[in-house]
Amino acid sequence: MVIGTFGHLGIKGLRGRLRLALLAILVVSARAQDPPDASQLAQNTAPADYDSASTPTAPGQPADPRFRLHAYADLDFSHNQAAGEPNHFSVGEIDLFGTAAVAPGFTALTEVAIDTDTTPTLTSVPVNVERLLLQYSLNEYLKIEAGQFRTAVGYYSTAYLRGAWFQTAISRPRLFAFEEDGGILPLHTVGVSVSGEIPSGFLGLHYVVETGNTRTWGTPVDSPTPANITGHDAVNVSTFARPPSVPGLELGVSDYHDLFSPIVGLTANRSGVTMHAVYVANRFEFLNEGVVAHIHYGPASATGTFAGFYSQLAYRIGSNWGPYARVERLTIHADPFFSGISYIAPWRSMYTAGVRYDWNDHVAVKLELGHEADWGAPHYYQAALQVAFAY
Amino acid sequence: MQTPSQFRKLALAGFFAAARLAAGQGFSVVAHPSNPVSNLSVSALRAMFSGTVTHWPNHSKIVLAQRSAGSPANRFLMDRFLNISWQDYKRSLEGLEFMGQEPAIIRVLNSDTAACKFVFNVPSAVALIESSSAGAADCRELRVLKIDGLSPGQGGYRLR
Repeated sequence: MVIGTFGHLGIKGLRGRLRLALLAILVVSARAQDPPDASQLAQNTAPADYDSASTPTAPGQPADPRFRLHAYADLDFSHNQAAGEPNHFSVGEIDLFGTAAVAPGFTALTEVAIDTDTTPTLTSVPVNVERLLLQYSLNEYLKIEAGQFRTAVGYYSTAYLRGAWFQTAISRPRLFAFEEDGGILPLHTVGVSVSGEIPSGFLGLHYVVETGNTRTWGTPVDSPTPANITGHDAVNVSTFARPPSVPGLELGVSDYHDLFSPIVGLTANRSGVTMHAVYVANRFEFLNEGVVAHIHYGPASATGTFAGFYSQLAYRIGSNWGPYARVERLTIHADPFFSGISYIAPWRSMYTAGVRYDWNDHVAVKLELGHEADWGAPHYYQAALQVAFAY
Repeated sequence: MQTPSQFRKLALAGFFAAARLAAGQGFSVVAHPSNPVSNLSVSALRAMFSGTVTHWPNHSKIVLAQRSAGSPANRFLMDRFLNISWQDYKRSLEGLEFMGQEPAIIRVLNSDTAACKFVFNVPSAVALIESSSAGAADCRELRVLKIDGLSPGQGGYRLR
């Protein structure tokens, strides 16, 4: 249909057109100020003053994928971090974490850690894909994750992943050191994880069942004898209770099994059982975990055992201050065949104390003192200062 | 005609009376009238505001309409109900998301009436407000949820 030209419309027609155009602009403008849907609201986990009278809001369902990106980083100054190590500044790690709801029930999760604290030169900064997951959540009883994830071995590894800002202390418990830092527990894998709640009333039980590839254990990435990945034979089963009547309490156990090759041509069975009792509420953070890990090599009937625990207590004073203390111990019993495993975990006790000061919602300053005793080496003290931030 | 000192005394008396009233009545949880939930347990409410439960039983996403820091409702929520500092609260919420859980949706409102308006506009929202505000024009249309089967003002009501 030919609408015509202004010349045919006359003044009244032109006014009518102008009114229509104005109306269209108003509609478009109103559309541009449409209230945010729920997924938009989710962008605002950082609270800010808000006046609903001036900003209309309306319900909505998350319809389109929105990539939510968080970043965490820390700057450190260390004194005697390892025996004899010179004092130095360092950039700890930069952790980039993003999620996107890609479809109803499906979430994509990516976490990349740029780890600089063991890097002598900026030309060799390792970039680790810490997690890469496609998650499907059917309901609270069934959640399936596929990709690279953190194993549900123990509590600390699942509660405090990367990102120094999250954890109260500067240092992680040595028992839960990352594999590339010489940790003795397999904290990462590539595979499938199924988790959810177990209808259990006052117990508040949850489960996690995971299967995936074997990962290195206790072997730093620069080790001259790198451990092999022997295949998709890692299985971990974990269960924990969060009684609704005691908010903040969690009691759990996990059992991990796999085959791995600490050196080429040697495939051993290994397993690790962890138990934890944790209370994080009412300004307290009371973490207690025990680990018993075995390695067994059938042809030589050789066995090695790690047994250790840590206990960490922190308390929030006012809104900013959080003093904390932690004690850790590790014992190793090994047949002569596995005499070398004490080099994997050379420490036997750690005492750590410090204070965390939350400057604001995004920046925390921590000061920490520690005492470490190693096998066959003199004990020593260490100190560290850290600025951890989230943005 | 009242002198300035009399006026100050009256104002102070009024302030303290209102404070006593508010303290006596405690706090109310308000939701949209279309929300099928009419009663919440204390533990369920704590789980909602802690971010560990993110959906209503009908699977709609919970939107937490919170009062700004320093308000009586926010102080009650942080200091007495959750017993957590604001920094730890934020760290905890972000930590849940970091662990792979669905993030909590939070909007912070600068008054109880603003919170009520928000809840009225967002059917899946819930707010904790002072009970003395529940009768305000903007809040009257909302449903005041029972907590452990008790309404605000009843003996044994927990949010006070």
